[in-house]
Amino acid sequence: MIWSLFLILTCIFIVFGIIGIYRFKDLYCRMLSSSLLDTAAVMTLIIALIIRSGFNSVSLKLMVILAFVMLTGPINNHVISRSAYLNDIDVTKHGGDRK
Amino acid sequence: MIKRFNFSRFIRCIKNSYQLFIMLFLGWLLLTLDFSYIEMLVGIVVCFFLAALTNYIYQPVSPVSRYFPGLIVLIPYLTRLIFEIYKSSFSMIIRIIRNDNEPAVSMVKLSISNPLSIALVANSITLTPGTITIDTDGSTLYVLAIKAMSEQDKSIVESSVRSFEAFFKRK
Repeated sequence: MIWSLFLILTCIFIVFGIIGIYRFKDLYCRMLSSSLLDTAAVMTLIIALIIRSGFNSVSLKLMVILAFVMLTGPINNHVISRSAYLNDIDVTKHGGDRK
Repeated sequence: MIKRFNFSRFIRCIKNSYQLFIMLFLGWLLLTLDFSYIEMLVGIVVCFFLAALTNYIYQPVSPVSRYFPGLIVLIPYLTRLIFEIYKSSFSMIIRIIRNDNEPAVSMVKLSISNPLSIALVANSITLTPGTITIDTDGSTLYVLAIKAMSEQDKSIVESSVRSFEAFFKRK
Protein backbone atom coordinates (compact mmCIF):
# COMPACT_ATOMS: atom_id res chain seq x y z
CA MET A 1 0.00 0.00 0.00
CA ILE A 2 2.79 2.38 -0.88
CA TRP A 3 0.41 4.59 -2.85
CA SER A 4 -1.60 5.41 0.29
CA LEU A 5 1.62 6.60 1.93
CA PHE A 6 2.14 8.89 -1.04
CA LEU A 7 -1.43 10.17 -0.69
CA ILE A 8 -0.82 10.93 3.00
CA LEU A 9 2.36 12.77 2.02
CA THR A 10 0.31 14.77 -0.51
CA CYS A 11 -2.12 15.75 2.25
CA ILE A 12 0.79 16.86 4.44
CA PHE A 13 2.17 19.03 1.62
CA ILE A 14 -1.24 20.57 0.93
CA VAL A 15 -1.92 21.30 4.62
CA PHE A 16 1.46 22.94 5.18
CA GLY A 17 1.28 24.84 1.91
CA ILE A 18 -2.04 26.38 2.94
CA ILE A 19 -0.79 27.08 6.48
CA GLY A 20 2.20 28.81 4.90
CA ILE A 21 -0.01 31.03 2.75
CA TYR A 22 -1.81 32.28 5.88
CA ARG A 23 1.23 32.39 8.14
CA PHE A 24 3.65 34.40 6.04
CA LYS A 25 2.91 38.07 5.82
CA ASP A 26 4.33 39.26 2.55
CA LEU A 27 3.60 38.47 -1.06
CA TYR A 28 6.84 36.77 -2.03
CA CYS A 29 6.82 34.37 0.92
CA ARG A 30 3.25 33.44 0.10
CA MET A 31 4.23 32.78 -3.50
CA LEU A 32 7.10 30.61 -2.33
CA SER A 33 4.93 28.58 0.00
CA SER A 34 2.24 28.13 -2.64
CA SER A 35 4.86 26.60 -4.91
CA LEU A 36 4.93 23.75 -2.40
CA LEU A 37 1.33 22.99 -3.39
CA ASP A 38 2.04 23.59 -7.01
CA THR A 39 4.86 21.15 -7.55
CA ALA A 40 5.53 18.82 -4.65
CA ALA A 41 1.89 18.06 -3.85
CA VAL A 42 0.80 17.57 -7.46
CA MET A 43 3.86 15.44 -8.22
CA THR A 44 3.32 13.18 -5.22
CA LEU A 45 -0.38 12.86 -6.02
CA ILE A 46 0.25 11.82 -9.61
CA ILE A 47 3.02 9.39 -8.59
CA ALA A 48 0.58 7.84 -6.08
CA LEU A 49 -2.03 7.44 -8.81
CA ILE A 50 0.53 5.92 -11.19
CA ILE A 51 1.48 3.33 -8.57
CA ARG A 52 -2.20 2.69 -7.84
CA SER A 53 -3.16 2.07 -11.46
CA GLY A 54 -0.18 -0.13 -12.32
CA PHE A 55 1.34 -0.16 -15.78
CA ASN A 56 -1.43 0.45 -18.29
CA SER A 57 -2.81 3.17 -20.52
CA VAL A 58 -4.02 5.24 -17.56
CA SER A 59 -0.52 5.44 -16.07
CA LEU A 60 0.86 6.48 -19.48
CA LYS A 61 -1.64 9.33 -19.61
CA LEU A 62 -0.77 10.27 -16.03
CA MET A 63 2.92 10.44 -16.98
CA VAL A 64 2.08 12.79 -19.85
CA ILE A 65 0.04 14.94 -17.45
CA LEU A 66 2.93 14.93 -14.95
CA ALA A 67 5.36 16.09 -17.63
CA PHE A 68 2.91 18.79 -18.70
CA VAL A 69 2.37 20.00 -15.12
CA MET A 70 6.11 20.06 -14.48
CA LEU A 71 6.71 22.14 -17.60
CA THR A 72 3.85 24.62 -17.23
CA GLY A 73 3.34 24.78 -13.45
CA PRO A 74 6.35 26.99 -12.64
CA ILE A 75 5.37 29.50 -15.31
CA ASN A 76 2.41 30.94 -13.41
CA ASN A 77 4.48 31.22 -10.22
CA HIS A 78 7.21 32.94 -12.20
CA VAL A 79 4.84 35.35 -13.96
CA ILE A 80 3.08 36.48 -10.77
CA SER A 81 6.33 37.07 -8.86
CA ARG A 82 7.97 38.72 -11.84
CA SER A 83 5.10 41.15 -12.26
CA ALA A 84 5.28 41.96 -8.55
CA TYR A 85 9.03 42.50 -8.80
CA LEU A 86 8.79 44.71 -11.87
CA ASN A 87 6.08 46.76 -10.16
CA ASP A 88 8.58 47.65 -7.43
CA ILE A 89 7.07 45.73 -4.55
CA ASP A 90 9.83 45.47 -1.96
CA VAL A 91 11.34 42.05 -1.49
CA THR A 92 12.00 42.67 2.20
CA LYS A 93 11.26 45.39 4.65
CA HIS A 94 15.00 45.55 5.39
CA GLY A 95 15.70 46.02 1.71
CA GLY A 96 17.43 43.25 -0.15
CA ASP A 97 19.51 43.21 -3.26
CA ARG A 98 17.70 45.01 -6.00
CA LYS A 99 18.53 45.09 -9.64
CA MET B 1 -4.55 47.59 -37.91
CA ILE B 2 -5.70 44.15 -39.00
CA LYS B 3 -3.43 42.48 -41.48
CA ARG B 4 -5.10 41.19 -44.60
CA PHE B 5 -5.18 37.40 -44.69
CA ASN B 6 -2.56 36.20 -47.11
CA PHE B 7 -3.19 32.68 -48.37
CA SER B 8 0.28 31.99 -49.81
CA ARG B 9 1.88 33.07 -46.53
CA PHE B 10 -0.48 30.78 -44.66
CA ILE B 11 0.65 27.83 -46.80
CA ARG B 12 4.32 28.75 -46.19
CA CYS B 13 3.66 28.80 -42.44
CA ILE B 14 2.16 25.32 -42.60
CA LYS B 15 5.25 24.08 -44.42
CA ASN B 16 7.44 25.54 -41.68
CA SER B 17 5.44 24.16 -38.79
CA TYR B 18 5.23 20.48 -39.67
CA GLN B 19 7.48 19.64 -36.66
CA LEU B 20 5.09 21.40 -34.31
CA PHE B 21 2.17 19.59 -35.95
CA ILE B 22 3.81 16.19 -35.42
CA MET B 23 4.54 16.94 -31.76
CA LEU B 24 1.00 18.19 -31.13
CA PHE B 25 -0.49 15.17 -32.83
CA LEU B 26 1.67 12.78 -30.80
CA GLY B 27 0.49 14.56 -27.66
CA TRP B 28 -3.11 14.19 -28.82
CA LEU B 29 -2.63 10.46 -29.44
CA LEU B 30 -0.99 9.95 -26.04
CA LEU B 31 -3.74 11.77 -24.19
CA THR B 32 -6.69 10.18 -25.97
CA LEU B 33 -5.24 6.69 -26.74
CA ASP B 34 -8.22 6.19 -28.99
CA PHE B 35 -7.47 5.18 -32.56
CA SER B 36 -10.94 5.41 -34.05
CA TYR B 37 -11.34 7.38 -37.27
CA ILE B 38 -13.35 10.23 -35.83
CA GLU B 39 -10.85 10.88 -32.98
CA MET B 40 -7.93 10.86 -35.41
CA LEU B 41 -9.72 13.20 -37.79
CA VAL B 42 -10.60 15.68 -35.03
CA GLY B 43 -7.00 15.46 -33.78
CA ILE B 44 -5.54 16.14 -37.21
CA VAL B 45 -7.83 19.12 -37.79
CA VAL B 46 -7.20 20.66 -34.35
CA CYS B 47 -3.42 20.12 -34.47
CA PHE B 48 -3.25 21.43 -38.03
CA PHE B 49 -4.95 24.69 -37.18
CA LEU B 50 -3.03 25.08 -33.91
CA ALA B 51 0.30 24.52 -35.63
CA ALA B 52 -0.55 26.83 -38.51
CA LEU B 53 -1.89 29.65 -36.34
CA THR B 54 0.87 29.47 -33.70
CA ASN B 55 3.59 29.50 -36.28
CA TYR B 56 2.05 32.66 -37.71
CA ILE B 57 2.81 34.37 -34.38
CA TYR B 58 6.04 32.76 -33.23
CA GLN B 59 8.83 32.39 -35.72
CA PRO B 60 11.45 30.01 -34.34
CA VAL B 61 15.00 31.27 -34.71
CA SER B 62 16.41 27.80 -35.14
CA PRO B 63 15.01 24.32 -34.57
CA VAL B 64 14.68 23.32 -30.92
CA SER B 65 16.00 19.84 -31.65
CA ARG B 66 19.49 21.27 -32.09
CA TYR B 67 19.58 22.33 -28.45
CA PHE B 68 17.66 19.49 -26.91
CA PRO B 69 19.71 17.47 -24.39
CA GLY B 70 19.95 13.73 -24.90
CA LEU B 71 18.76 10.94 -22.62
CA ILE B 72 22.23 10.68 -21.04
CA VAL B 73 21.76 14.19 -19.70
CA LEU B 74 18.02 14.03 -19.02
CA ILE B 75 17.84 10.94 -16.80
CA PRO B 76 20.38 12.05 -14.15
CA TYR B 77 18.94 15.57 -14.37
CA LEU B 78 15.38 14.37 -13.67
CA THR B 79 16.55 12.19 -10.78
CA ARG B 80 18.40 15.12 -9.30
CA LEU B 81 15.37 17.39 -9.86
CA ILE B 82 12.96 15.05 -8.04
CA PHE B 83 15.45 14.62 -5.20
CA GLU B 84 15.88 18.40 -4.87
CA ILE B 85 12.10 18.99 -4.97
CA TYR B 86 11.48 16.63 -2.05
CA LYS B 87 14.51 17.83 -0.09
CA SER B 88 13.47 21.43 -0.31
CA SER B 89 9.81 20.58 0.33
CA PHE B 90 10.68 19.20 3.73
CA SER B 91 12.94 22.12 4.59
CA MET B 92 10.14 24.42 3.44
CA ILE B 93 7.71 22.69 5.82
CA ILE B 94 10.16 23.28 8.68
CA ARG B 95 10.43 26.95 7.64
CA ILE B 96 6.64 27.25 7.67
CA ILE B 97 6.42 25.74 11.17
CA ARG B 98 9.19 27.99 12.53
CA ASN B 99 7.98 30.99 10.53
CA ASP B 100 11.51 32.00 9.58
CA ASN B 101 11.55 33.89 6.35
CA GLU B 102 14.00 36.41 4.99
CA PRO B 103 13.27 36.56 1.27
CA ALA B 104 15.87 38.20 -0.92
CA VAL B 105 16.87 38.24 -4.54
CA SER B 106 20.30 36.98 -5.46
CA MET B 107 21.95 37.28 -8.81
CA VAL B 108 23.51 34.18 -10.37
CA LYS B 109 25.52 34.39 -13.54
CA LEU B 110 25.42 31.18 -15.55
CA SER B 111 28.19 30.08 -17.86
CA ILE B 112 25.87 28.39 -20.34
CA SER B 113 24.54 30.39 -23.26
CA ASN B 114 22.02 28.30 -25.14
CA PRO B 115 18.44 29.46 -24.53
CA LEU B 116 16.79 26.07 -23.97
CA SER B 117 19.30 25.12 -21.26
CA ILE B 118 18.83 28.46 -19.51
CA ALA B 119 15.06 27.97 -19.65
CA LEU B 120 15.40 24.44 -18.23
CA VAL B 121 17.65 25.64 -15.39
CA ALA B 122 15.26 28.51 -14.60
CA ASN B 123 12.30 26.17 -14.72
CA SER B 124 13.90 23.68 -12.36
CA ILE B 125 14.76 26.45 -9.91
CA THR B 126 11.13 27.55 -9.92
CA LEU B 127 10.01 23.91 -9.52
CA THR B 128 11.94 23.46 -6.28
CA PRO B 129 9.84 24.95 -3.45
CA GLY B 130 11.56 27.86 -1.76
CA THR B 131 13.16 29.39 -4.83
CA ILE B 132 11.66 31.22 -7.81
CA THR B 133 13.43 32.64 -10.85
CA ILE B 134 12.13 36.18 -11.08
CA ASP B 135 13.93 37.55 -14.08
CA THR B 136 16.58 36.69 -16.61
CA ASP B 137 18.95 38.98 -18.40
CA GLY B 138 20.88 37.08 -21.03
CA SER B 139 22.46 34.30 -19.02
CA THR B 140 22.06 36.03 -15.65
CA LEU B 141 19.30 34.72 -13.41
CA TYR B 142 17.66 36.69 -10.60
CA VAL B 143 16.64 34.09 -8.05
CA LEU B 144 14.22 34.85 -5.23
CA ALA B 145 14.79 32.57 -2.26
CA ILE B 146 12.95 32.24 1.03
CA LYS B 147 16.13 32.67 3.06
CA ALA B 148 18.90 34.50 1.29
CA MET B 149 19.70 37.60 3.33
CA SER B 150 23.12 36.60 4.65
CA GLU B 151 26.10 35.73 2.48
CA GLN B 152 26.07 32.13 3.69
CA ASP B 153 22.47 31.58 2.65
CA LYS B 154 23.16 33.25 -0.70
CA SER B 155 25.95 30.80 -1.39
CA ILE B 156 23.58 27.88 -0.63
CA VAL B 157 21.13 29.21 -3.22
CA GLU B 158 23.91 29.70 -5.72
CA SER B 159 25.27 26.19 -5.23
CA SER B 160 21.84 24.68 -5.87
CA VAL B 161 21.61 26.67 -9.12
CA ARG B 162 25.10 25.49 -10.10
CA SER B 163 24.13 21.87 -9.47
CA PHE B 164 21.40 22.18 -12.11
CA GLU B 165 23.65 24.11 -14.45
CA ALA B 166 26.31 21.40 -14.34
CA PHE B 167 24.07 18.99 -16.25
CA PHE B 168 23.84 21.25 -19.28
CA LYS B 169 27.45 22.27 -19.63
CA ARG B 170 29.07 20.93 -22.74
CA LYS B 171 31.71 18.40 -21.88
